[in-house]
Amino acid sequence: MLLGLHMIVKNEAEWLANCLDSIQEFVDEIIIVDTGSTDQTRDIAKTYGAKVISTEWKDDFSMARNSSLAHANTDWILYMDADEVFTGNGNELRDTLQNSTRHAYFVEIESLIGSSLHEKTIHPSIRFFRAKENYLFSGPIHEDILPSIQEKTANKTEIGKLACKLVHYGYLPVISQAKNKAARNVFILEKALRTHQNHPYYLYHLGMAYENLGEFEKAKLAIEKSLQVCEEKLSYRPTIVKDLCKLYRKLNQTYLTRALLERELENYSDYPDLYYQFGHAYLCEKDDEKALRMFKKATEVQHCSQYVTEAGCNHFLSFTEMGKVAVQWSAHSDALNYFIQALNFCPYYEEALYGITDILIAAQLSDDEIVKELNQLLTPSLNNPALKEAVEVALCHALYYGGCYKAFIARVDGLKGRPPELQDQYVLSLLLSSDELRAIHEVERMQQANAAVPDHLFNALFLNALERDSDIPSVCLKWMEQQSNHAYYSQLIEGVKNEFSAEKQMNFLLFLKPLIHLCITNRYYSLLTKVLMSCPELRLYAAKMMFYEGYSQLARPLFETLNHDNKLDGEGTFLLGQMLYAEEDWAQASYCFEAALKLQPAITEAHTGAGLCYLQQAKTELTQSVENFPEYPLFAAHLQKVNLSIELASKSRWSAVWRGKQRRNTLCQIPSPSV
Amino acid sequence: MPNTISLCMIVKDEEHVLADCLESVKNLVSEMIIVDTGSTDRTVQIAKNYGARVIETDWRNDFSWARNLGVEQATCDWILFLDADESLDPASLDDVRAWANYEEAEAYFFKIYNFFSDTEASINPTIRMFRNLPAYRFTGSIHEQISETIQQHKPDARFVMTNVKINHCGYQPSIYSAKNKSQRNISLLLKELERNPNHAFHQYNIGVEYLQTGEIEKSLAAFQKSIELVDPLSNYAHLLYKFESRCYGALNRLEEAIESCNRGLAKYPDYTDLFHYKGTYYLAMGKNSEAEESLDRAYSLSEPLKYHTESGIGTFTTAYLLGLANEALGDDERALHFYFASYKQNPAHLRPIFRAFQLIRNNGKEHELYELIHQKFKVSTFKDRSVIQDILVRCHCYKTVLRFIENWLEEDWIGTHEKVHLRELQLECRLLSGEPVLENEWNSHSKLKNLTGETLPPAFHPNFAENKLHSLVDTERMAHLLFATGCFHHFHTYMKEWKTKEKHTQKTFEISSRYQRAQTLSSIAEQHFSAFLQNQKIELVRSAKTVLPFDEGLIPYEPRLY
Repeated sequence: MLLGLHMIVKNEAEWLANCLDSIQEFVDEIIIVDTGSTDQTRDIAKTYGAKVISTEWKDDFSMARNSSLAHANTDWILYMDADEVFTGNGNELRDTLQNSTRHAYFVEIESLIGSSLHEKTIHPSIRFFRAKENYLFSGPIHEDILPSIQEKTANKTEIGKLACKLVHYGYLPVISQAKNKAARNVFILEKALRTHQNHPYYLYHLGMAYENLGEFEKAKLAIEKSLQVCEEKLSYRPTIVKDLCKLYRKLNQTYLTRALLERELENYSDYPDLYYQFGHAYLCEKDDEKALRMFKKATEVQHCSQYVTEAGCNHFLSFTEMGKVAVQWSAHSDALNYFIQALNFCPYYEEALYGITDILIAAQLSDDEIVKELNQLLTPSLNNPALKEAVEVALCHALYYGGCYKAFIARVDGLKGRPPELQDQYVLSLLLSSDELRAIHEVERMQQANAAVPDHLFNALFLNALERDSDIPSVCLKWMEQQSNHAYYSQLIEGVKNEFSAEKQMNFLLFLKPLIHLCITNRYYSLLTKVLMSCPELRLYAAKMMFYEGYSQLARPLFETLNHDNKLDGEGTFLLGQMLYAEEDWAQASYCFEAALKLQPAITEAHTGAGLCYLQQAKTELTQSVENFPEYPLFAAHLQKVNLSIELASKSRWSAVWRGKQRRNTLCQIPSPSV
Repeated sequence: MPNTISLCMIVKDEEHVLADCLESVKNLVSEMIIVDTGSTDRTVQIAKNYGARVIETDWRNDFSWARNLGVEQATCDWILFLDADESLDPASLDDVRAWANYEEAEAYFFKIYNFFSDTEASINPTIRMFRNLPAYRFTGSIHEQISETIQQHKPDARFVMTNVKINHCGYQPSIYSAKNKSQRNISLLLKELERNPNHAFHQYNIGVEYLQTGEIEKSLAAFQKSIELVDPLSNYAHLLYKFESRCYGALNRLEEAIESCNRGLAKYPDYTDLFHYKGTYYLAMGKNSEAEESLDRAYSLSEPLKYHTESGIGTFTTAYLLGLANEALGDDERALHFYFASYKQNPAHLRPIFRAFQLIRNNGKEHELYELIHQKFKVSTFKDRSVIQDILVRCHCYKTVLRFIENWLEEDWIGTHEKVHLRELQLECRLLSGEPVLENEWNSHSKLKNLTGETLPPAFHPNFAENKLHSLVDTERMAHLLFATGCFHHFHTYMKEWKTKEKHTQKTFEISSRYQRAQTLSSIAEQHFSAFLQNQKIELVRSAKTVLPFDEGLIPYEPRLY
């Protein structure tokens, strides 16, 4: 017999059939080691004609796997896990094995790690090997056959590579009980490390298990240790480096990434993931120029299959990051190109679509023009329906976050179904397009369909009615009655219609806060004005939120009033400084930044702002001096230095940056609420 | 019997300078023959007072003709010729006498020092003394030359390069109205070139004049024409390459400027100036290691002996630029070495010291500065102390000033008046370095009193006493004090007032004031960036801080009395 499938399983009833369906017709025997299932696993296996060997679980994967090898009757062995499926041409595979002179084969394992199509990692693994050579697995977890093969065959060319793929979906958050698995792995690995002290492979997986458990500091210790003891020649060493970088990013310690990669990059100069991580490290340090260079490099290196690569690092993810940097520098046409390149590799990548929308907004295009441009960009011949839908959904998201509410509604209406992830945005868009009747209808429909309606949708309907002085929809009233704080709703209605009670409780103010934010995002300005008139305590909050939502022009008088009354805190003063800086009132702006620092020294960006204010003043002075006294070259030389310094410091992202709908808000002219 | 020397000159309206010139050689020469081309002032009178034979003639637009008129009359063994705005350096008198008795030579090069300021000069070796033979006569109607006829009559004639120094003050701005003189020369030369367009020397001279008037393109064309025509052995041939490269430099065509230096170096491989200028062009291009290499060559060649050069090339200016190149390359150790070397060779230039101190402070190594100053400088006199205080304060090295003051206050031999000043400065430096200072301490300071009030105290206004440049340094320090004490409002008022007041000062002062004010603003920006960097490691802000301009000591130190 040619090929046998070997597996070890425990309680895999849910997945096993999936796995066996994909491979059954191409294998001649199936040998399954069961380590104590309490579900239907064994029965399912038997329906596929598998030979099932029951054994006791001894915290050692290698031991379990090796126990099945002894029963092999075939020339070749394939081993799989229950959460994997085989894809590819099975007949071709059999032909290859039939005529093979090699000892073993790599296949690509594609691990899905998120719900989106592109979220996957790819790495090669030896899964086919000759049965008669007595190769044995080693290592109690993440058992490996390679050392045994290498021991017996001098030449690495004995190992080939097959075209088929195994898709591994066990890491998907919805499927796996990753935590349980991780906890189990920690247990096994710690046990293994007691006998194999400082074993790099175990240390690495211990670290990864800790990471799954959310214990990042422990993970860091283990993986750093692993890298320290890992010999340079070991094939999984670059993966350790990559995962350590990712961990540093999670821990917000990207300066460690930088130090690590400055040492390691030259060893793995063709590993795109490392450049991608390096790019992110630079982004965290606000060194966008170096970041850009790294992302570019990630897209340029020749992809080499020996590395564990996360899909997109070498193209669309990196291109998108490059686009974002270019937008920061207002290099919009460059940015557009980067985003388009990203879409070439992943047409439904939302970040790239959103980036393009953002640029079109910055160019002050109308909604219709934006939709037109986006349509032109999309690949005309998307045949795969799943892909097509993914693109549509991503495009809808991009339209919503770009504030193109009418276009968003039209697009969603054009979809066959209503993807649940768009429902929430759909209702809000209807309200923002003053179509409250349909919005109410939608919410009612959601309730009828037993879909969970988020609180803020009810709040939005409620505030909309208050703003327009219309009746509160009954679906809303019903919901409010069920709320523990329904008294506050009445209080608010009373306050808006007649007068707020003079005495306001702290809890009532806290209740108002998210509603004020909603008033701002949904532009209920008369309501907002009424509330702020009676609740001066909330003015500072409202001013800040207006600023962050992009309504800085609108917020400006409110900031002035608050400043005049000495009611601005450090953050508020810093924001006022940013507005003054944008208006090129350098002296007043620096005064604000310095005042902000006195109030709240932790706002260190105010230092950058203040420094820039002084340089802008120096620039004005020097420019004038250059004009008035052209015969003194020193002024020009100084001006050049000051200009350079301004350029550098300005790129350090010290002030607020608006994208998408917030950016759109900065451009629109709406009368400001008077307080 | 020692050989004798005739002085031959041509003059016109030189009453301001002639006496100095004749005074410098009266004990050297046996006769003075002065051709006057129509003076209307006291020139002839002055010449006669020195016993000169004066030949009065009209001006015929021909320098050679006029000079030869004098030479014809000379009776001594040698002819020395000078311009009225030149004088022989007293230290060279004995040299000239010795050369007059040397039998092997036909003519001598003396070094003409052209002074631009008290310390900056260009040095040009030129023939100024030749054997009095009938065949040796001047040629060329402007920039007349003697070498042509000497070489014609005695092809193996020896010209000797000497260290005899002639001081020429003709280029000092106060005396030399460059434009007019250049315009006059240009029209003369154009006439010559009309007749004789392939005259290398005229092309060279008109190039120099065009450079003066800022007509760089014309200048470049002239030098290139001259290079085509010139005899490589003539005494100005090497200069053509320097001027050609400087033209390219002025036109910001730096690649070509460098190529021009290289062509020159192929012919004159030991011409320091070409290496030096090549280095400056590389610096301007940001090619720092190439700059370093070229400047290093210039520095090891040192000042050239037989070529036209400028003071500082091969010595202190080259060293300063080497410092800059090394700083840009990140080799701070070497940068400091050259800054100090530059200072040592020309202590009148403090710029390298300013740079060195800034560099040390920026590297966070101010704590080493005190020891370093003790190694490199002698700080014993009142002036030494003042200079060092001044530089350190202007480089914002307040902690180091404080260490010095602490020691000085304990010295018995330092006077009470100085100590009063030192105590005030001590308090200022404590404030400026961010040390906490009690309010009653402030009030012990004559100026800092009442600083915390609503309005600026009277002592705290920009004060440009008599337009003394150094008052700007004080003004800046006061601004910094207001900032350091957190009186931002006062600081803004103060800066505004500074700007208003400077408008009513003389132009040169206004320029310095604007310069210093921009300096103050960028220095405050630097403080903000530093504060930011204490908490965050953002490379962009660090770079923004590094590229900022800083006080390089361009406003000279002025001693003050207490």
